[in-house]
Amino acid sequence: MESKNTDALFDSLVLELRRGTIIISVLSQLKKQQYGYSLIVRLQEKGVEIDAGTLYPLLRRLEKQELLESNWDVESAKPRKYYKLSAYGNTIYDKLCQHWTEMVRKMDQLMNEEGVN
Amino acid sequence: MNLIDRYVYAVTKGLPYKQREDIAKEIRTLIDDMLEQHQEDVPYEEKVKRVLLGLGDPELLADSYRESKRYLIGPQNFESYFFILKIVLGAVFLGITIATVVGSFFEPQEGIIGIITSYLAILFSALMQSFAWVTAAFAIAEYKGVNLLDKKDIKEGWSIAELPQLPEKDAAISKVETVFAIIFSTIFISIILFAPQAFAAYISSSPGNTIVIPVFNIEVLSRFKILFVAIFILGILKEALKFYYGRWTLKLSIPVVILSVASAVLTISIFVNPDIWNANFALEVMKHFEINIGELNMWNSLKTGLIIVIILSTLIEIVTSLYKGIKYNQ
Repeated sequence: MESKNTDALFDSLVLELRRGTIIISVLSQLKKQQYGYSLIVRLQEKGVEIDAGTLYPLLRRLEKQELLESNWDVESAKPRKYYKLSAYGNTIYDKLCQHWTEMVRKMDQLMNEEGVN
Repeated sequence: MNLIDRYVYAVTKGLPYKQREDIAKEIRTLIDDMLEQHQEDVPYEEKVKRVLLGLGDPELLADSYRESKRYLIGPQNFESYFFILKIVLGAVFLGITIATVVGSFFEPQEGIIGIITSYLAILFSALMQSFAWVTAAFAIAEYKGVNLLDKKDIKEGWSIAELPQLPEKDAAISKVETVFAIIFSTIFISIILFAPQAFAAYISSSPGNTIVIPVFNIEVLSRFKILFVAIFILGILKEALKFYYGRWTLKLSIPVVILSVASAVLTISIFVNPDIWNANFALEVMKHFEINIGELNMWNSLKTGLIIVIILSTLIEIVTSLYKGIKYNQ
């Protein structure tokens, strides 16, 4: 009866969870330079969906925050803007990873505790 | 191709000029890449349509490219904006109404229709002006505020020390006082601008016959209109600051002192000008009262007196606001 509502609610909760992981996913793939679309494909291959409308502006924002560096490749037929982690972005990414691991550990603990009881 | 051009245009048309070209190139390549990936065997036109649909509403895409918020006055300032706007518009309405009523005594030849027409015209343009100025001031504050907030976030965020102190009773600045100050200075400026003749001595010589002797030389006075407006703006600024802080603190006292000094200097620079007064004022008043020449000196000392009053009241304001600012500073 309410399954439609519950689904919508569930979807929005999942979206909320995913939102927190977008930046770290993107940073993780930029040790080597990528352009927007190749990044989408790469992430997709690894099971992480992100749409271009989210990714492109995000890349720009991260560049403005100096986490990423960019350069235009004008040699090839299509002009492409390549992004890559800056030195600063690298440090931040490492720190984020530590946090993430820590968070996963804690979450596991919380959920397992639940399971035991 | 035309569809792609239109899509790119739809996204970039509302974006900052500097970024447009860059973003356009980016999106174009993206669409191209997506087209290549599209394996289904459909006509090119159909492919383009599907790709564009996949990218979604260009307005939404533009929105995510645009980081800055798209409003003049944000929710945190809207309430005080609305409050100030109401006061200013109300005061302008009142001031112009009073100025028109008073002014209409002096130009009876204009007739009631003429008076009402010019009243409505002046009222309309003055209300528009005040609306624009208040909004502009708040928009600037909003814009500056945004930058301030960003810096704070990077610095260290919010700290307990930032919690506002509960204002001591004497430190609080009454809002009623602020409202009245704004209303009175608006009425004053409206009269100065629209009916300066109203500053006059009204002598009833015989029943139903009033002689009006203006205090100022209207022609000279009107040359100082810009200065009067400047003084008015300084005054409003001062009241707005008081309203914003709501309590005395050194951060408020210092700009209040600066604004007071500035407006006192401007006021004095207007009134030291001997031409601004109606040169015949004293003589004419005396003529109707049949009083002796000693009063003429009094008129002169009244003029000096006015300047002394301005200086004294400015000094008092400086001392009290500094005193309260230091005493209740936190």
